[in-house]
Amino acid sequence: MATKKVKAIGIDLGTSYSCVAVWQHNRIEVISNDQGNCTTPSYVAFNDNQRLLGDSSMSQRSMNPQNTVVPDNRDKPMVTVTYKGEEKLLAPEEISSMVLFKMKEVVEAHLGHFVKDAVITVPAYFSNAQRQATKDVGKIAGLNVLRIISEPTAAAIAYGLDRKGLRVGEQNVLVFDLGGGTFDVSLVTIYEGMFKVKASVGDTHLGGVDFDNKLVNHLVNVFREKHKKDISGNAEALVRLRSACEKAKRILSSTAQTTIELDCLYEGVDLYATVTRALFEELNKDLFMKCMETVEKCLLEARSDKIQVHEIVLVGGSTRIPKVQQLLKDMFSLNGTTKELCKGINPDEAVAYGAAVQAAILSGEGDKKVEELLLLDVMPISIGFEGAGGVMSVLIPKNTAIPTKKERVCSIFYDNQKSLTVKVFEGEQVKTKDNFFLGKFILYRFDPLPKGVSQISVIFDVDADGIVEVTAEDQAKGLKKKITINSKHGRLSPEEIRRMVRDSKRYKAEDEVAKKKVKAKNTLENYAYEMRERAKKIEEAVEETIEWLECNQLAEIEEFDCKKQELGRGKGHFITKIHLPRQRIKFF
Amino acid sequence: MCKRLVFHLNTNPNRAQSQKHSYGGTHTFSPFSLSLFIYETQSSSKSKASNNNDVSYHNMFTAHFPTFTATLSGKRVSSPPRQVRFRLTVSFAIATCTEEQRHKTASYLGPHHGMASCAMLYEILGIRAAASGMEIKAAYRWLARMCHPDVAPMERKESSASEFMKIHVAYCTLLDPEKRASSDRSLFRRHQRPLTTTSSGGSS
Repeated sequence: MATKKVKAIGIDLGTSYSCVAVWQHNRIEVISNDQGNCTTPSYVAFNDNQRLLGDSSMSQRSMNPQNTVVPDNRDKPMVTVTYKGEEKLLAPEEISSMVLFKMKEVVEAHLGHFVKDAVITVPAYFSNAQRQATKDVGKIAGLNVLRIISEPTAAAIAYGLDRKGLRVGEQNVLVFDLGGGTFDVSLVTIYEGMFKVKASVGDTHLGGVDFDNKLVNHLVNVFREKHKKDISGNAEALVRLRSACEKAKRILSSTAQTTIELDCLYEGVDLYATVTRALFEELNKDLFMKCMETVEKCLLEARSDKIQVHEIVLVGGSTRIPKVQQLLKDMFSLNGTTKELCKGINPDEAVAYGAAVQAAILSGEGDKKVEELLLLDVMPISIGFEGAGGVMSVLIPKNTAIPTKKERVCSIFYDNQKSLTVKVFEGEQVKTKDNFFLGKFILYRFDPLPKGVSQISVIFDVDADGIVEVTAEDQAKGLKKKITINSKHGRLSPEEIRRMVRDSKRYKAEDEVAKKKVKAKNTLENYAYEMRERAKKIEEAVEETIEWLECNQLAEIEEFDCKKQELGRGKGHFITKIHLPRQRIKFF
Repeated sequence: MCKRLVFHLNTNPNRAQSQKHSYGGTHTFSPFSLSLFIYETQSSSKSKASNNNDVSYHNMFTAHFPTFTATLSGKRVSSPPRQVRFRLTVSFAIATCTEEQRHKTASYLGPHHGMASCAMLYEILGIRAAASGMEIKAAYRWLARMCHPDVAPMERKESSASEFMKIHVAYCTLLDPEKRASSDRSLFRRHQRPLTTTSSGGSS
């Protein structure tokens, strides 16, 4: 055990559920948590006694709605919870790090040793800042993040590895990733173990929770019309209703109709509603069509036609919705032939599986099967700098393969200009003010020259991790300025990260104390029950001996001695513990 | 058609500028800079690259090119150090928008090397000038497996990123029929006679 190499793990950090996998026994294994589930809820709960992670946080959600939180990576709000009687303000990164910490614990419990290195997945359309933030999250959780990869890419790896021996030639795979909170579509070309992303398009505000909300809103309206009461302001009622709607959605994937029954939902009034699949589909019609439009956009960006797509891989729990599958099937069924969707891949596990493969590649373990694989990733969003008039000057367009490097020579804007500010932006809008600001720096001490004369080279260098490094150089003076884009806007500062790491360790220590308390209590309880059993057995033996004595008053000396030895020997361990007094034998 | 026309108009001044400075042998700065670029986007894969109309053109370049291994070795030897490259860039003071053009500029040392500059794309991939789309893809995949930072051996980790970038640019250019045709025409034209066009001024 001591000589065993520390493994790199793959983590699917999802909005609603997370999953972890590792390369073991010459294959990828998806690891079950302490409840035996392959996916763990991305929830964290706080109460007066302790912090709860995973399934235990989910099960008490209805009773403790205010203090049961899920990381919101879409809008990044600060969340207030009450923990051990104190109010605490938590950043989304902090909550996510707790989820990652739980996944780390799950795999460590399985492997029997610590893990450090990890590949973590994010939605394909995550921006550079969001990917950086996810690396911060890993750091807070005590992980060394080897790589951030996109969920559809990871799923394509899972698909490609699964089908590696069966396919001949180049395969164009459309990965349709509809999870709890985000939606991504990617076109990936797979050929002899090489995975090349051609295009990725997505919506960070579309997923299963949005489908649930449509149903929740519908039932809130029904309740209002029927009982003249508005439950939308009641947190506990809403949590119960949302939980019931989510459950109903799952049931409707396999049946045409179900009922939602919630006793005493609000002010003593029950809610009883029949929900049909048709109703659910009608409520979410617009959202489903939005998904299909995104598919069209992905094909357009990849400059591919539907006919060129060989396989459609479904990822994420929401792809089990029958209407979604039907719409996809219809879209790709051309010239009278029906296109079947690939269902050999488990939608909940594919992403973690692929992340674990990439982890094995990067850490240099795994066998020949994995060593032959190579992932060629792309920039998810265009990057450039601000030009004259606030125009976005794109240097690296989205879907550019990484690593990549681009250079632009530009001039100063007015006579005798002495310095130049380079502002780096991320996004697809024409004006920089509508895009996301990543960082800036200033080049100083130019020689006085008329405008248009001085030549400044601006170089964007993106490594395989998607980290952007910007360099500007005055070609005349050899003056150089460089910045690695660690966008401060909306990101945690190093001090905040350090504080969160300390908080994480404190939470861990407090969790350990809570665990020990529970363990000690359980140990005592078990010991007491065990002692009761032992006492019962001793009592039985003693009663037997007394009965024998009453029936054998006139026995010989040898028989009495023998019986005594039998009582002592047969239950010897009891005697030594109970310390029964020695009996004196009298003769009459 | 209109898009294509714009592309050509913007390419010629750049090349003419390069030519002029080469002959002049001076290291003065030019006020010229391009005001409009067509950004290179990742070309879509096609099962077959469209054939060029000029068939006889390809026959002139059926000569054998180095093997993959030799190509890699040659690349490392011929690739100038970063410092030298910057000096070359300063000398020519040319606006470039892709690594490909930057590479060609750095390699351009005289009229006789002009052909090598365009032929370099084929040499980078280790393929012949008449290679098909399938051959281009196969060469790219082979080289990517050796040069990508994720899989390159430890001792080549540092240089693997830039090597991969060159391979990828060559692949994207040659796989796009329009870009390949433009590159081939440029190669053909330089082979026939050196350019003597004077540069036209412009400003950003």
